[in-house]
Amino acid sequence: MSFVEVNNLVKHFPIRGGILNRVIAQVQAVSDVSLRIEKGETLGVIGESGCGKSTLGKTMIRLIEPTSGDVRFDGVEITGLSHAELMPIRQRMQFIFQDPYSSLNPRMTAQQMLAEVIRFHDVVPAKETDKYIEELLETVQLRKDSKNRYPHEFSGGQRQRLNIARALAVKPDFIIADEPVSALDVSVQAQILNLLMDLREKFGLTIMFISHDLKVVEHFCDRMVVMYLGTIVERLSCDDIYNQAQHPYTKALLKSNPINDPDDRETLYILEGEVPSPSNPPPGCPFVTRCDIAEERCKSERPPLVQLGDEHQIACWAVTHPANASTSSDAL
Amino acid sequence: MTNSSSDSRALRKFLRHKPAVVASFIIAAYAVVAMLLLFTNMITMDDTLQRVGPETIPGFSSVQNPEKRLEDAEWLLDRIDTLAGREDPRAALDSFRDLGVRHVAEIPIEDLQQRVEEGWEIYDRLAEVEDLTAAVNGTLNSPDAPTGEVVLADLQQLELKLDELLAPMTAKEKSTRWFEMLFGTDRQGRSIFYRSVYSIRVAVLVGLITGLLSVTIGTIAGLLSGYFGGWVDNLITWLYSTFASIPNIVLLILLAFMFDGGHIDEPLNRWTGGLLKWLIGGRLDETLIPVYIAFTATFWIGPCRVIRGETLKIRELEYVQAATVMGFGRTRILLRHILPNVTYLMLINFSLLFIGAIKSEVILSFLGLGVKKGPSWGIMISQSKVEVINGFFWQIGTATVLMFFLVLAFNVLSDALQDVLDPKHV
Amino acid sequence: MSTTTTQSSEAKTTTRELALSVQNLTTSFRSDRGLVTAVSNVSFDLFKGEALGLVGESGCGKSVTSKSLMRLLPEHVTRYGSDSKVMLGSDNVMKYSNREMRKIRGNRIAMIFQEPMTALNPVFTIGWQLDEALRHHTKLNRADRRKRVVELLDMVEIPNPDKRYGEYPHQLSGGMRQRVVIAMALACEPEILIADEPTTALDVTIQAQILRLMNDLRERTGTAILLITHDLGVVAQTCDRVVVMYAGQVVEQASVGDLFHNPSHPYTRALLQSIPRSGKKEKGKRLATIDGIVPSLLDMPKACRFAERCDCRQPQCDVEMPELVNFSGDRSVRCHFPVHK
Repeated sequence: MSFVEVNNLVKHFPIRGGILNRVIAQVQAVSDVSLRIEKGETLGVIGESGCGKSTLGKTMIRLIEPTSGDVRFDGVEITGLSHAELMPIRQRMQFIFQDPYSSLNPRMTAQQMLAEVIRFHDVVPAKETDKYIEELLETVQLRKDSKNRYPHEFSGGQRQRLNIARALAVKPDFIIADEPVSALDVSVQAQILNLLMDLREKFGLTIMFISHDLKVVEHFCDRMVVMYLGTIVERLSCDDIYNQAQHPYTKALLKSNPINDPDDRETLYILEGEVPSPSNPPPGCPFVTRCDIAEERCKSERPPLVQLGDEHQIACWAVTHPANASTSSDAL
Repeated sequence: MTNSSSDSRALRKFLRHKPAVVASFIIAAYAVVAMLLLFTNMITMDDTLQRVGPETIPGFSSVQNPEKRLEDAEWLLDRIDTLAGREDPRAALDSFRDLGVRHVAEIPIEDLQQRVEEGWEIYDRLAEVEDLTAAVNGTLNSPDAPTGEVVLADLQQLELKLDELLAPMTAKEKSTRWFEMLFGTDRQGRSIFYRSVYSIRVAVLVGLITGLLSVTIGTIAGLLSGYFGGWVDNLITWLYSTFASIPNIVLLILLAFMFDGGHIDEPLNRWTGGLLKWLIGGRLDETLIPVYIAFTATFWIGPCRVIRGETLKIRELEYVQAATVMGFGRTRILLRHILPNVTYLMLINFSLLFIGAIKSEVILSFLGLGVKKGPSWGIMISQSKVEVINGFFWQIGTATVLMFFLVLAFNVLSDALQDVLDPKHV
Repeated sequence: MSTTTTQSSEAKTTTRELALSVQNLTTSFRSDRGLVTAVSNVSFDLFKGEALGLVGESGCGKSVTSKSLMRLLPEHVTRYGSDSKVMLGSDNVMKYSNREMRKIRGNRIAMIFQEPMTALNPVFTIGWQLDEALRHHTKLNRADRRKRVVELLDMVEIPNPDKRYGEYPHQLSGGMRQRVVIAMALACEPEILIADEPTTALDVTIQAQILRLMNDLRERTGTAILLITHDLGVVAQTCDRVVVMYAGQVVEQASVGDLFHNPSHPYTRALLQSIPRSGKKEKGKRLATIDGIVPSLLDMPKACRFAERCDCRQPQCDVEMPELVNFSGDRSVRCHFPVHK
């Protein structure tokens, strides 16, 4: 049993229209996603906009309610719990948001924000709150006297550190980080990533790292899942993705990333076409409209996730076609 | 960077906005006057109802035309003459209050009547002239008409005689008299100065209470409907859409009419065991309750809409989502995270509603539905309709000017507040 | 699905005609805290047909620079340096009146921005908006304009251009919209295209498409491109030469190959090192970072602005402001102790 389990999670958003405001279509944001994250592990979730990775994270933490499927945390099924029952879980599962500018209340100082969280969950006895806040700020490499500052007095990187401090304040075991460095400059990104690595070691955190940046995910995570149009198309370890990746989309992602070598321009791979609308996905493989190795089968039958190697799964008919007999499509 | 809350930075920015600072001083001045009126007897209600002189005298002791002077002289002569002819002339003369602080002279009755006679003599002479103004201008074509100089000399003499009938004023009385007559008198001889300044009390009360109530109710409604959505939102939206579809003025009139004469608030007061009167009565003037209710019911819509819109926006921001992820309950999020971020809108709306209230009071009083007891700018404007036709603009002018400056100051202030407090400009 | 075949930087050094020359550009803003200088003495040249990258992190002044070139900054609060010149041909654009500026905007110099969502007016069809650009700057009649618009849409590789003419922006995806924006910019065949973070808001696969498109168009029309970005990878893929900015100043200028293989300024070097590298992972390795943060515009050091964060800091760096020195061919650096010379 894994620390965090996601089983066949589905999230559809209804689109309303017409005179009577009936539901005319569904945005299929997350379609049948299953994951396992072991304690202490860092899982990367990579995909471009519209692939459902943010929705996945928010559904797991029950910021959004799933349409079907369940999420298990440390053995406890959390999707069916009431909000009151969810409270102790909330302390152990935290979320770091993407936008450093809108994720902090502009009218609360750092101190007030952290104190509210700490007192609400009674993380430390009341008398020790101030001291704990100072420790937290130090841990995220902010100066102690910044506790009386308002968010607008901090830079983007500093605000993100505050975000991390808020998540850490309740001493969580599991953190979902939704594009935590995407809005930051490259040099600041490096600082924050290093910080997250330090904290991960220090506190033994389990992390789900959502991002669109392959370089970052590869650097930071142990394993990763690649999402496209609401489904997982490939699961692999981050050790050697360049050579290991098999799914055409993953390969396209790898080769579309601008490399920092101007002599290497020829290898830039252009993936033609656009992402189909999530309210009207293709009936078969979602990638069929842009895939260059698509077969007839891909248009009508959705490929299941098939085990390829030790920590490697892929959903692609062309790769898993007859030669590889399918095995379990679930657990890793 | 220095530790600065967004409030202190806003304050500094505000202080750099010169018109806004001036506006604040003006508003403060009005507020001080209102306080004085409410808590001291600087000017009492009676002062505003009492006659201080002949009708429609212009302010700043401007010169009147000869006909008017003659009329006013006749009025005074007549008054004193009548009083002196009463059974107890001394008592009657002592009770003379028609000239504000001025009293009848403390001289023997016979001397008084003598002077009155002399006055009548001059009056009769002047009364024979057909057209006094023409005479003064020298354009009168009448053979036995006296010359302009003679007419003027006569008038002056007449007025001197009248002055002799009155007791000389002490220094204090002189200064009071100066205020009494500063803006002249209205058609009933009452001091325009007293009336228009006293109206500040009503204006501030109505503006303040209506503003506070409307903003409070509007904010609560807006927050609830924006945050909770669902049936709460539908209900409140339906309510304010309905209210907003009725023309403002019609609604005001309707409500004022309903509450007029105490049909509704009297029983309401009884049920609540006198609570309503206790809360609002006394200083806050319970006769204005119909006005307060009518205005609040009309004005709560503005803040409600605005706050609802802002709440909808803030609700989707990540720091509110973060609070949800933390496990905070909805009440806490609403009060601790959303409300503090809409206070700037409440402030701006308050200043706008203040003005709206003052202007609406004018309209209601014009129709006889607003303020019942005592003067208000609306009542003054309403009463001056006839005067204006006759070219007498002192009452309407004074009321309008005083109102204008208060409203202008609030407009400038609310514009400045919008600039300064808009979080996008941080 | 194809591979791009842009030429490498070497092959472009044949004819070098100047398209735009920026000299000593200084842009300041009047604020309630006094005059704030966002861009100090920035100089660079843009040659015809080349792609020049203007690189830097947020707050370095690259956007302000590009907007200064187009005089898009709010007039009553912006002050330019007295010897700031922007030479377009033989004219100093800084001295142009508003009317003259309007004639060259969209016509000789075009600009595209980061957010394709807001660059297009949602209530007009894309055909209408492209038509507007042509109506404003050319004398073509209706039928010719329509032809040209369809041509443009085709040039930016929008399928079914005839049908798309009548569509509204919300009916297009982000990548498509950015193509339309590029088409609008190129409608009047400008000499210079300023692209301010054109692909930052796009997915990486779409970004690759757009970058290839811009390169192709540049080769076809000979338009010079000033590409402003914070993404060094994008620069490596598209640009011939690069200008690096830090805290409002130019700190390095070089050809793209030189910059990436042999950076001269410590900041450039540190920046390159802080990007996570693709390829075999070294587990748990920390990224190289630059300590500290960018100095505030209100509190700029009088000497080298990068000194307090620099790992080769020397006493001289805190005393004297280094000048931008051209030390070989196309290379300049603003540093007392450059890493590579």
